[in-house]
Formats: sequence, structure tokens, C-alpha cells
Amino acid sequence: MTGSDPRLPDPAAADAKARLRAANRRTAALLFAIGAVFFFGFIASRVFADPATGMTVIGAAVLLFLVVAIGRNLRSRQ
Amino acid sequence: MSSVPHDHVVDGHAHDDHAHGHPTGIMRWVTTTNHKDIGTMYLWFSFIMFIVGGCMAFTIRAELFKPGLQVVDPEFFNSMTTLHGLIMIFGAIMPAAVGFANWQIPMMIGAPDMAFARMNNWSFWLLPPAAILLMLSFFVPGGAAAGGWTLYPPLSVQAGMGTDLTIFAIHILGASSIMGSINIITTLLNLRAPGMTLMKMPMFCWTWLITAYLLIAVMPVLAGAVTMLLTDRHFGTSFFNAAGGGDPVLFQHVFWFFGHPEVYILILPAFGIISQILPAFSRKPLFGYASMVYATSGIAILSFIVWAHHMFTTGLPTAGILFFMYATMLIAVPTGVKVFNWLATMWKGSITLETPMLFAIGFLFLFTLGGFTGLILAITPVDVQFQDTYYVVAHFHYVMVAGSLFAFFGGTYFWIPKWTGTMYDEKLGKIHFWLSFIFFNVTFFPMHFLGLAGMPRRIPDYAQQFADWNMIASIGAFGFGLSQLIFLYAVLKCVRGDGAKAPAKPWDGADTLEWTLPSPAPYHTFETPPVVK
Repeated sequence: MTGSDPRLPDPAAADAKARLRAANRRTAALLFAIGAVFFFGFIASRVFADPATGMTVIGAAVLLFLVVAIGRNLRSRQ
Repeated sequence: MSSVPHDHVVDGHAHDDHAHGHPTGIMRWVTTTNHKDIGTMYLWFSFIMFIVGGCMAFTIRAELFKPGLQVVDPEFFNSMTTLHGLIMIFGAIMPAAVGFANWQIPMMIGAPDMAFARMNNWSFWLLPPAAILLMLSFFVPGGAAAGGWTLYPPLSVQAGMGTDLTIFAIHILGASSIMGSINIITTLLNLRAPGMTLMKMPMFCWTWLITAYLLIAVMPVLAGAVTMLLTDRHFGTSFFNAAGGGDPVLFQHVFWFFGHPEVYILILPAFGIISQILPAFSRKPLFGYASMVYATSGIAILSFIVWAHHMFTTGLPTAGILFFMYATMLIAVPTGVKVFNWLATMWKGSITLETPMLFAIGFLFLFTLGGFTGLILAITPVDVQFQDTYYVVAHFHYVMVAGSLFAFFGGTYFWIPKWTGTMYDEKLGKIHFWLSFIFFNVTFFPMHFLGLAGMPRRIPDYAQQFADWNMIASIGAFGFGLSQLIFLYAVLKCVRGDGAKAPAKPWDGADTLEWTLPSPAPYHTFETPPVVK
């Protein structure tokens, strides 16, 4: 007999599913992080009563997101 | 963000997990992870809240039927206006939009379900506890929140326990919205059928993608603000409490940083529905698809820089007033692009006037009217006169009721053949439209005159000079509310299967993926993703 057993999961399909799940989770984590930065960043800026704190938190978060996005883009091109 | 649009799978819940022997009865609805079931629950929840909020509107209009105090005491009246606003916005319109998203987005992009099916279930089941908290607030010492849906301090800092329950309800509703938004964005970015590029997505999906980003950006800000309100009330902080050195106007800035994008959160999904209905009944493709996408994005971006037009009377610096006035007027440009494109879609189309199309045209006419009064209110010297008058009440009801609500009615009639497998009763649908259209205008058009004459909002009693238009508005409100029973009856008829059997594609001009499915749409759809060319 040749070919694989159809009852067994197709390794390629399973791999694609795993990659999709990982992509979904990455997307969700990034979006959740944006929400968390807005929530805690705003409160932090008022707790420290310093407008610069708010701008620093948001600015640092935007930079971090950019670095992560550029890094992931570079890695996917390799 | 990665996009792997092949071989779909739903996170933590492969779609074939519940292909056999899923629960029946009440447990089906409690435990369901199916996007269609959850969409149905969202839509029914929103309709129930629409009825609850509508009963509050009845109370308000009964009290305002004639001058003097005759139905409720002023404190309760203030709670009615506050809870009417909160319930209609957070309980009725937003969940209705999410209900449409749940039903339609997976079917429109060829996905088997939402990306996070279990989180989808949680998103919905957070809503009933929040609604219960809001309703419970009527029964606690001090009564429900009565300082307006905007929860401005100092009233909200000084009010009774009802405000705490409202704040918790907002926290829960915000968490639900953020989870829903994460789900929708992930679904749209990662689960599209092969070949469906972003610029091939139906407009409804585009408007929801942008709406979901808006929600993620502004809901946490509102949550942060109300958290700080809570700490001001109970933990001795003074973020907004002037007595402790806080700044009440800061709350207004933060609230409207959320509140203005919120207007677009409520209206953009409605734009999406209208953009599906008009081409279908004009039998032409949507005019200027790309410009519609860019206009929607433009509206969303501009919505972040116009918040202080709600605060022209708080003593902003002149430069700030000018900036916010011109930025607000700028929103008319992308909105005008959309209205132009909708009209151009209809131009020389082979138009038929079934109920969804009637609601879409009604939307176009009345929403544009609401948009124009918005432009008038953007002019600072005019706004200073109209601030907190019935002119503002008329304006936002033209946008929210004739805008969002009419679109949702149209969307329901448009897609209910797909949802239930039964055609709605066209005669009932048309009666519903015309009664809604007429009574809506009878209710809200006179409010422009009341506002121009100087009648303030949120008052249970008024001067004799406002009596006639108030009486007419109240008659219109009762007529509008009762007309919605026709909608309920028409929907129940479809749910019971009382009507003609719906074909897979009941509308000639509809061309999105859901119309390739049989009616009613099977419990599981697109388990093998379609290929879009």
C-alpha cells in the first residue's frame, strides 16, 4: 500500500492550524496590550500628576510596538 | 500582525468539536460558542434593552406632555434621563451592532466562526450582569445615577450608591466590548477566505474593523476615568474632586475623548449595513468602494481630535476652541464622501423599494439632517447658545435613532431571510417603516424648535411657552414606541417560520459570500473556506 492513512491527521494541515492559532493569539495579545497601555497609562499619568508621564508611557508603548512590529517583519523576511 | 488565511481553525475550539451532540435547551444558549447563536443572543438582548430604555423614554415624555410635575418626581426623572441614555447606548445600540457582526462577519469573509469562540461566549454573558446592575441601582439607597449619562463630577462624586453600580456596570460592559473587539479584529485579519484581500472585504466588515480599533482605543480610557471616579468616591483621592484640589473639567475632557469616538462606534457599523443594502436594491456595485474605506478611516481618525466641541462653554482657550471647531467641521468631508457615494450608488440603479431599502433611504435622509445640525453645533458661537438645549437632543436623536436604529432595522429585514429561512412579511415591514419614519419626525423635529426657543434639556418641568411642541413630541414618542411592536411581530413571524420560504439569495443585487449559503444558514458554515477571486 502506498500513501498515508486518511484517518491520521495531515501533518501539514495540523501545522497550519497551529500557526493560525499562534497568529490569532499574537494579534489578540497585541490588541490587549494597546488597551492595557491606555487604561494604566492614563491612570498613571494622573497619579503622578505629571502630563509628561502620560506622554512618556504612550510614547514608550508606541516605540515598543514599532520595534516589535519591525523585528517581526524582518524575521519573517529571513 | 500575521495573516494566515488558509485552513481555518478557531482558537481553543476547533469547529468540529461541537458538530455532534451539542447541548439543547437553555444549555445550548449558555454554553454556545457558535457565532450565529451568540449573534442571536446579542440581538435579542439589545431588543430587550431597547424596550427597557424605551419605557424610560415613555416616562420622560409622559412627564413632559404638559408643563408642571404630574407623573414622577424630579429626582426620578433625572434617573430616567440618565439610565435611558446609558441603556440605549451601551445596552441597545452597541450590542445590536455586535450581534450583526457576530452573525455576518464570519459568513461574509468565509470563516467557520469567530477567532476566539469561547471568548465570544464570555463577551456576551458579561452583558446580562451589567444590565442587572444598572437596573438594581433603582433599588439602592439614593436611587439610580441621576447626573446624566456622562457621569460628570461633582454630581457623580456626591451621588448615592446607584452611581457605584453604574460604574461597575460600565466596567463590565467595557470589558465585554474590548473582548468583542479583539475577537472581531483577529477574525477579520486572520480568518478571511483565500483570495479575500482587505480591499475585497464587504464594507460592513471594513466598518466593523475600524469600529473595533476605535473601541480598543477609547474603552480603556473610559474605564480608567470611571475607576478614578470610584477612587474619588471611596478611597480619598481627588482626581476630579475640586474640594480636594482635583479638576472636574478634566473628567469632561477624558469622558469626551471616549464619548466622541463612541458616536462613531455607534454609527460606523450602521454605515456598513447601509453600504450592503443600497447596492443590493439598486442592483449596482457600491460606488467608490476604496474612497468609502478611506472615508471611514478618516472619520475614525478625526473622531479622536474633536472631543472638546462638547465643552465649548467650559472656558477653553480661544486657540483650542478654533482648533476643535475647524476639526469638527472637517468631519463633514469624509462623511460627505460617504453620502455622495451612497447617492451615486443609487443613481441610475434599477431600484426597488423593499423594506430594507426604505429604511436605508430613510437613514440617508434623516442621518444627513442630523449631520447638518451637527455642523451647525460645531460653530462655537452657535453652540454656546444651544449648549444643553433641546436642539442638541434633537441632533443626537437624528444621528442615533434615525442613523443607527434605522440601519439596524433595515439590516434585520435584509438578513432575516438568511437567519431564519423565512421571508418577512413585506406589508408589515412597510407599515413598520412608515410609522417609524413619521412618528420619529413628529417626536424629534419639534425639539429643534424647542431648543431654538431655549428649552433646556434634563428638566421635568418647563415654561408654558414650550407646551405645544412638547405635547406633539410626546404624542410622536408614544407612536414611535408602539410602532416597534410591529417590528417585534414581524420578526417573531419569521422565527416561527410563518411566511414564504426564503431562497438562498432573496435579493437580486446582493453579492457577498453569505448569499452563497442556503437559507437558513446551516449551524456550521464554511468549514472548507471558499476561494474568492
